[in-house]
Amino acid sequence: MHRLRELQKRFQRYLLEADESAVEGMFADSGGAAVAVRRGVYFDAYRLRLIGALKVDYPVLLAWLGEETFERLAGKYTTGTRSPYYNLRWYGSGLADQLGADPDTAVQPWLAELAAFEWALMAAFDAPDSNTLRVGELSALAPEHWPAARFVLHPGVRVLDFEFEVPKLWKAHKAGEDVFGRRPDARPGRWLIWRQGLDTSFRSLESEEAAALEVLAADGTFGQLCERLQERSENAALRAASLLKRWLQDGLITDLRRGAE
Amino acid sequence: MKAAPILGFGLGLRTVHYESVLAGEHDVDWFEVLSENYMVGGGKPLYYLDRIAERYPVVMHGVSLSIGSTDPLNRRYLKSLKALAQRCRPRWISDHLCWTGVAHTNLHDLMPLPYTEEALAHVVERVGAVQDFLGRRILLENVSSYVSYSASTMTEWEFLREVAERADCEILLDVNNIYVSGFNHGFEPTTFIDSVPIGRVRQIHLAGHTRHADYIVDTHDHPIVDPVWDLYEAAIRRFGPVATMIERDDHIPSLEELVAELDRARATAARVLGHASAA
Repeated sequence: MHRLRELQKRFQRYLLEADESAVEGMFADSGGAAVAVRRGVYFDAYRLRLIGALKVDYPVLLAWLGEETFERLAGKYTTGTRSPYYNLRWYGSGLADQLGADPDTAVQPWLAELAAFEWALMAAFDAPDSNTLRVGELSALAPEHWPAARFVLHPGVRVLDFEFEVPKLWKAHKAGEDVFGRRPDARPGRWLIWRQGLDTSFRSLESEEAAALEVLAADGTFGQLCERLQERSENAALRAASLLKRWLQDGLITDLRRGAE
Repeated sequence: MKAAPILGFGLGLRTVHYESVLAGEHDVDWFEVLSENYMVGGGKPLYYLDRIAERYPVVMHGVSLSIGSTDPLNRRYLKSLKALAQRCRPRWISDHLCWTGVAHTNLHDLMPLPYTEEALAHVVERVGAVQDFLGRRILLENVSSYVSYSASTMTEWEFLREVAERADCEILLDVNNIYVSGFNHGFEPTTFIDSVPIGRVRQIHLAGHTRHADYIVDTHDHPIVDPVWDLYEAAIRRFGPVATMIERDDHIPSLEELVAELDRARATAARVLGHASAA
């Protein structure tokens, strides 16, 4: 398969690097459109398909930037980023990082944050399904087992820090407002993104709840959760129980692991 | 080969139609699902797939098998494909007779193969490996193409026939792709159809395309044109009743509109086969 491999590598080099010499003599003239036009169909389709996928992944970023600027920035991404994925769904995973690192867009840091937010929503959207723990199931846990118990977060849960209120831009867009070029408020905060049932949700986190979720994300115990809350609350156990109840109602917790297990 | 029961007339399942599909009774016999769209963790895609697969027969159609690539077969992909098949129990699994990238890069496009003995042997070996892994025969679809390689030593239809016969796989005959490639490369589409082995064609694709001045691009964003309907008629005449479906990937109309287009396929097949219950 030596010749076949060579052909595929050369054709791919032309598509990825616009190296026309790579495909010299590769194609037969079968009449009609010129060879340059024919190979160009693949060249253009490659870029258009990837940019099209990014438009689907980042609809609010697209609305913020407008078609032309989005395509220019997405074009930069496609030039620098190949897809190793069998699913186009994952191609845009690095866009937020690129927007943050590119001097062209780093001056508007909310762009990278908006991209990160949209990507987290997608991650929550098709994260693995998981049963959610019900409040009633907690009653089976004997008091002496509470300190060592661990609560497992749903795989769709993401916590992100933003300097700007990009989730509000997203909401405005969904409400049909024009967000083109609208600068979000600079209000640093921590945001929770998750999926409840089939629907993705998000809300801002107060620092206490954010700290408490950090304990769970790090596979900490209920005892450690109380310790963390003691720094902020007089009745830490009660506060921890109250937060836990809310997380259960929100579908954030999938399982309970007893300490001895 | 023993003839399989005929599935009838289907549509490609698209997300915008999920609710409509589940909401009522439609004159659609089955749905083709795009495998990769459901090779995800969970959430809405798999929720809807499960419900639709409870009510309709489904078949799986993939774009990333890359059967002609000279990279090793992607085992992770195959495992995920097999897991999806175990979940939705498709009547069959198809992909394209093409390559989609090398050096661990996916071009996310259906790249044509050179029609050479070397490529033929390579594809035949890989189809065998895939079929062994999945424990079933797969269908391979002829793609639309815009270039032809100087290296080719046989026609596309000879290549397709040899792959199917030597690898003992089945064929998903895309009638629109035959029309598009025929126009782009100057061959007579009926020559292609007349060379495809009867008994290997398990499914037919119909779709629309975009016509440029001196070439056609397979865009799946328009209704099917009359010359493609004529070719469909020729295909049914040759292959008999074959499960037929319409692909629409852009400018997707309502489900009702697609069902009406599907009715034309139904009527065409019935007329050719000379009885109303063609499928």
